[in-house]
Amino acid sequence: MSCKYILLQAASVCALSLSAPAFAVDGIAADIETVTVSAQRNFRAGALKDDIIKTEVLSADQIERVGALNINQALDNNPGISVQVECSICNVRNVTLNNLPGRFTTLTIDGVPLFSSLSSAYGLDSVNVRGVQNIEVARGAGASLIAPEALAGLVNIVTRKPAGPEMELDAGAGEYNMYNGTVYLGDALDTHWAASLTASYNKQHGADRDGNRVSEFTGFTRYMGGVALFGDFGDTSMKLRLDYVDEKRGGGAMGSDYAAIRASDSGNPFDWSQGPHGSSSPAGWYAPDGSGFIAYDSGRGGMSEIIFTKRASALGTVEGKFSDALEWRIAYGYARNNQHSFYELTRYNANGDQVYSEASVKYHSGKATFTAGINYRYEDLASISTTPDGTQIHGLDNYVYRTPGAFIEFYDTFFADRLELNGSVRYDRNSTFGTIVSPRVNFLWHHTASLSSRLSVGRGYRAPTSFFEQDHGILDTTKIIREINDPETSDNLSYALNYSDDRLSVTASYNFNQIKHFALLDSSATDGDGNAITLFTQADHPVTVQGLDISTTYQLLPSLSVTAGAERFFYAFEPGTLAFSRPDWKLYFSGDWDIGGFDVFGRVTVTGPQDLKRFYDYANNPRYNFDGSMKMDESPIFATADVKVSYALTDEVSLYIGANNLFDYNQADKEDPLWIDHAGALDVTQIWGPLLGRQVYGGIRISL
Amino acid sequence: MSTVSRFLARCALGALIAVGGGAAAPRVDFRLARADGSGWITPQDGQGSSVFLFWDSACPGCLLELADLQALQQTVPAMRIVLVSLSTREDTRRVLAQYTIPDSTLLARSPMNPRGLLAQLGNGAGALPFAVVFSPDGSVCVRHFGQTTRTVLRSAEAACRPRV
Repeated sequence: MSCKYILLQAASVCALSLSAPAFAVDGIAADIETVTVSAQRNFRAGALKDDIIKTEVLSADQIERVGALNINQALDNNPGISVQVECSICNVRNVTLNNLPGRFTTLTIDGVPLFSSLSSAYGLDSVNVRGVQNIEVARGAGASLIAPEALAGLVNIVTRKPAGPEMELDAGAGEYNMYNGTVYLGDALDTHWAASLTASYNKQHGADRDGNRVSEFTGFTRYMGGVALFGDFGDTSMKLRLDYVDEKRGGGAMGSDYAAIRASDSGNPFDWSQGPHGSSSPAGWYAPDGSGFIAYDSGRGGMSEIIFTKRASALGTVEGKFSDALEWRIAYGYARNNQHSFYELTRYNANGDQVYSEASVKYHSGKATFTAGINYRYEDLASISTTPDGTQIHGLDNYVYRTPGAFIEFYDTFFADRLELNGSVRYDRNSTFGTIVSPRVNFLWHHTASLSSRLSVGRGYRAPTSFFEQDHGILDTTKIIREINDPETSDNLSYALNYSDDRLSVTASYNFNQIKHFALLDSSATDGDGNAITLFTQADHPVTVQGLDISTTYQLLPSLSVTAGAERFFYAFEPGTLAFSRPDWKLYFSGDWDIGGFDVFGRVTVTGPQDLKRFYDYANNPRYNFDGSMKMDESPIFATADVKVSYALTDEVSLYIGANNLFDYNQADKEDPLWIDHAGALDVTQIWGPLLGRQVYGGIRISL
Repeated sequence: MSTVSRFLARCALGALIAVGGGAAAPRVDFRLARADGSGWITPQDGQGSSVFLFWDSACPGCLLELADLQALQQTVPAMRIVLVSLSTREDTRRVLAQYTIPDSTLLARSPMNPRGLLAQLGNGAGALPFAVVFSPDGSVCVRHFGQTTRTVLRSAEAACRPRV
């Protein structure tokens, strides 16, 4: 990339020097002057990275400004990007791009994809964003040459390389017994090597808003650590990164006495009469079909989900040059995920391995570049489930995917560099789904120095797995019947118009995504003997999501920048596909005031109504409150606000205080996330709003 | 020296461009926030010419400029020097703490999207180090790619003096 821009600029400079009087300066030797492509790391909302593919960048400044501790917190509340909670008991979260399901978002670290469905289910809360240079977000299928399964897009974390001695310490505490501690150390070891160390501890209790003694926000304890090593030997550079995560989370019954909760399988410790439209009895509820009273008698464990996650990963990249015109790159990654779960008296233990390897070369010819490469991906899952009656089920959702692949990419410029064109095609051979070809093409047109258009058309594919993707938790099922014949494929078209000058940056975009062979998990089926089974099938019709979004940032005053954004989405889908509700529109407003020693950040997000009746398929599976009344057809419009104030005592030490969800909006005040079906069976997925109220926090940050 | 290197060397020489010589000098009106948020910085401020040095903490040539900043200012005492950081606030603070920054040097924040302003100033690729010298009337006088040395500044100042 850097070579391309150097040559591009050198060519334009030379062109200028032909048309204007060149200035000969005495004493300047004809030596090469080192030029570097600017990192452009200090982006604001509305700005795009200088890439053909529309890439939004969240800088380290922005990450720190919102007080984010993990990638979910860093990405949430940006146009076209959101974090979707899919369970009120365990709070499994996914990053959704263009409002497509979270499994279609691929997360990479330094360009290496090492997150499977197993590791993404709870793992994104454990992706540390300290020691990060920035986070790059590219929406749309085909956004990544090496990750074709990114049907909705790609999130890439760029590891920070220290240039000298650096240290950051951050310690904070807040409501709900929140405690956070992070340390980052980095240094250049000598002229060739640099290293960094990151360690974080996060802890928070669960929250029960409506008083029924069932949490809506899951408590957790989390340890994250990582080591990175960087080597620079002139034409050759390398990067090695090791990470480890250990997280325990538990929701449902309040408390962190997990062993006792698991052992509690009888009695009723809850109060079902509490909360909006609570039951007439604290002991249980009446089935809406009139079949009678259902007394809850499964103890604390029967309404709890406890998940212990451990993850270790290693990735490395080496890049170099055979000559000035020919570069090479090798990348390798390995991740091991282990999950011990307790889901309402069912136990689910799973191990997953991922391996990624890549080798590529890039050839420069004039302004054109040609890239060719091969890569290999391996992903597996092995699980053991134990039902409440003690029945063990081995390999319920096991899979092994081996996918060798090859790719070529071409880049060139035309019309005096006003048009940049990039095209590529991937060939993959998946061990289950066979041969898959994924083409894409990207155009960047520079209307003026400040105004540009980007057009991308591409296709991606994804080999679906059954773990937790389509339906959170495979509970009380004895087998999964696979009726999957094709990979999920996505056709995507996106257009973005970007304007930027000294004070204003605006990006408006349109995104079209159509997913074919959308995978579905039906956990309500039974076999001939009446045993619960799960059908893993595919939708008959495509799922189409179209979105328009705009984001604008303006430097209003020297000390104040303001941002406004909006998004509007249109959905076409059959019931059971887009299984979690999504808003039709959202508005975003934020302001960043920085003067003297104070730094004040505030943002407001307004969420439009969500068609709950449609997304949750009331027509085929109506949902009820505990008092027998129907759940809302449409969620209300609501707004949340976050604010953070920092004060620099010195250049190195600052104090901060903040509040998330300042006006304390909580869905549980309006509608319980728990619901029952016609027969009175309970579920935990009526989610459309925040499940944690206002949280005030404060802390100290030391940066040397 | 390879073909590409020779090409770059020729361009480096041509990278110091005097804009003018009879043609209307381009004006790029912009304003950048001061690093402390206390006001704006524009090319037209001040009495004489000014040089805007765009830099990033990951740019080795930029760091050489910062190390030589005092000497640069002494070379052209009548010229206003403005440092425009394209790095994060933390990196900017950390890097600047390592160097002696003359009191007369102004520190400016990066624009919303640096690419737009850099392209308007003739640096569409975002190459660094990059310097732009403005005449007293605020028009672009000289663009320079690569490290700005004392020799470069001395010559640029001479080239940007108002013609009598």
